[in-house]
Amino acid sequence: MISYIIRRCLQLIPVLVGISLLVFLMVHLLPGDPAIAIVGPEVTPDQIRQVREEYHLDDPWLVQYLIWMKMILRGDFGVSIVENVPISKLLLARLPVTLQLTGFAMIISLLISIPAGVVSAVKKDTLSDNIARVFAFAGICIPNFWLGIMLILIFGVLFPILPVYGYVSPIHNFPEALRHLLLPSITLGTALAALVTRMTRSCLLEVLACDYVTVARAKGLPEHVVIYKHALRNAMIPVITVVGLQFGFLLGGSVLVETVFALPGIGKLVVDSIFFRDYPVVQGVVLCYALVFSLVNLLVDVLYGFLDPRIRY
Amino acid sequence: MKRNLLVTVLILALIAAFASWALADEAQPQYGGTLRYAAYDIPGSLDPQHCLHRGLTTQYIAFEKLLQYNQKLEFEPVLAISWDIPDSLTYIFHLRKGVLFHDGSSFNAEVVKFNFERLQSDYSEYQADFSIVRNVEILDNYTVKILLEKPYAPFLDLLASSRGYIISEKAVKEHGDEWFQKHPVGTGPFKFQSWDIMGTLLFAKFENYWRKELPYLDAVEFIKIPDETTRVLALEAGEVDYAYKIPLVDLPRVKKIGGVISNGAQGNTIDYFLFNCSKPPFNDKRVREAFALAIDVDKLDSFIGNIEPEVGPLPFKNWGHNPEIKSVPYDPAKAKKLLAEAGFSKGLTVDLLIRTAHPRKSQAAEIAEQMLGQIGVTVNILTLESATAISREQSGDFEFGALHYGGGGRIDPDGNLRLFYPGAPFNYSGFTDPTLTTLLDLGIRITDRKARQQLYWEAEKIITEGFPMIWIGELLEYNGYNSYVHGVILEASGYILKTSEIWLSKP
Repeated sequence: MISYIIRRCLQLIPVLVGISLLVFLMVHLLPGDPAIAIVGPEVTPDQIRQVREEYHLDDPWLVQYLIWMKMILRGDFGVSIVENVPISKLLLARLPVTLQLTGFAMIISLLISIPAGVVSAVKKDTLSDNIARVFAFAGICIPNFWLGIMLILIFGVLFPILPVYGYVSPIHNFPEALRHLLLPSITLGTALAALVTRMTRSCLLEVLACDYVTVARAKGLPEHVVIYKHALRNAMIPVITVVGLQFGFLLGGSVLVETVFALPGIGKLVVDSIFFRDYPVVQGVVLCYALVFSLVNLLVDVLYGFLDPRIRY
Repeated sequence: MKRNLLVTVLILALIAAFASWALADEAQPQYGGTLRYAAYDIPGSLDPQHCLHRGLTTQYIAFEKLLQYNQKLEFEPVLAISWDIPDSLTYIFHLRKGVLFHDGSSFNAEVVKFNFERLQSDYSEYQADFSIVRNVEILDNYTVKILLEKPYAPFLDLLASSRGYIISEKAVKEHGDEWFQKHPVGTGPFKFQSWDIMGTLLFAKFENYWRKELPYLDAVEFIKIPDETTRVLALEAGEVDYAYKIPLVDLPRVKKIGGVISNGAQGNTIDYFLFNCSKPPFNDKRVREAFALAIDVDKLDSFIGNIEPEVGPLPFKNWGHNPEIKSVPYDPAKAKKLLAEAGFSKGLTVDLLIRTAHPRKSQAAEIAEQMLGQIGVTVNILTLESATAISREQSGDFEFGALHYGGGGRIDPDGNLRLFYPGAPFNYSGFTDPTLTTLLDLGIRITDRKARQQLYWEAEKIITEGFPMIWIGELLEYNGYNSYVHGVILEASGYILKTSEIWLSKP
């Protein structure tokens, strides 16, 4: 297992180099002068000249790429053209916000969806099953930015029990941090909850139809042991795969949620950076995303080994 | 009888006392409190001479200028108490004494000279604007003489704009330009406290502010809330006190919460459809005029709503605007005739370029598309992301567009009219005229306002008769605030909140 993890980590290096080249080319191929994007529409020739000189935007792209890679290898992501701070500082401050949001969204959605999926499968074609399926359908259809605004309206304005916007660090004040993250996490996690509910239901139904489950019941085992000890573990393997893949979508989906709830995460940062042609930030953040996503997938693969003893690396 | 009279007098006295108590509470500003201002973004640089501003104004709270416009658009003294203009090249400013910067250094003539030199340096984003200054001479500790390279009548207007903020020489010389971008030091009523990478900017009351009775507030906190709906909800929940740019659909709601103020009400920003006059089909004036006749701007304005109609490059309220200029009459029959004369009797197809950042212009574009369809013109609306759209506009790679321009925040009519000067940076239409150029050159050389006004009236006439644009009007935007926020005024340019006058009535 350890050698497998080390091998996977080493495989990350060519992946990250490839991604860095790809994202570098993509942002530089975007139409539009970055100097105009940064300063705004009423930009003067002086301002354009200043920005282009200051940020080496007139250098050949290969030179710009090599300068940037050299800096990355030294751990220096460069300076944000727009925010005027080192990008590493931006990432250190903002990445945890996005990870907390995404992580909390995932926890909430799994806490709701797995039990809902189990109930739905076990009590198939009953009222509980129908309710769970309607919730799943609605969760997939509702746009998350609309849901976010509705939650703010209900719980922030009409019944003001939760804050409307902002972020509090859990290190400074854990209960306040949870209060601030609750609505954004529900907003972000709803679509995932809906998907996992449906997946859990369908995977569990399949497993419950297997012979070994019939044998377990015939042996006289209590129903909760049959479901949670025997059936659910096997049903979880495809569900964990989907959850791992969905993590990437959660990271991407955090942009809208961060905008609506004014959370200072990197999702909104990277979208703004694209619009302002803040190349160094886009490149740095995408590399970060690639690294985080790769590590999450590694974690998912390792989890398989715990869920299914037949899987060994 | 005497007793009745006495009782009446007592009752009246009680009523008067109660009324004055109630009115006094409303009228008298109270000291204290922090204004929580929901902004859509926080600037990366707080240096007013190098902020690459992107339209953000939060950084200006710490600074002041030598002079500014009042609400009647007249110059009023700030850091300069008076000024003399002995000839068209010379400006002598008499500076206010006893003014301190936030770092304790004194404001004086040497600081003013330093500021002008910095504004003329490569570091400044206003180098081109201040290249008009030949020399700054210190006459005494509180008097500076500024010599210009050539006569420039809008010079005071330049100093009264956001280009004219005065910064601390000591702070820059001790710590450098880069430090100053994150630690602004000025003479303003609020001094910089902290800039948080997470999106808050805090300014605290400057105890040694030269206007002893101001500011009323203890602090101003700018909070980054990018989504406009969230800004309104935060206002409603009482989590912020002032919200920048609220959705128009929420205007009635915000008016119930407290109040609204129009952004840019005093400024010169006007929205328009723009023709590329340098290439077909719009190099033909008949085609441009046909389009102008086919678009019923009054109807368009009433559909869009919250728009201040305008008929030319200068708003009605600007002293340079020619009152004889009327809106182009809606006449689709004449429009078709003109198109036929220009060789487009079978109609034509044009691309209308819109930026994604301007959703209300998209609405205007759709209405214009319908109206132009009635004269046989097919309009393809191309909505592009802003940076891409601007690049195409700047390189002339467009036919028809929708933009706005406000003279770069200047009030002087030259700001807006200079758009049509040959080689002007934002003259995307490419429209110029030799007589117009002469008028603009003369307009900045003579200082008599009446004489300048005549020149600008003529200039505006030439522009409107050339149809380089179809002026839609001024798309109004609003900021909202809670009921306990008082004294809300914007600076004359319309975008910068005068935080020194604001006070809060909640405990």
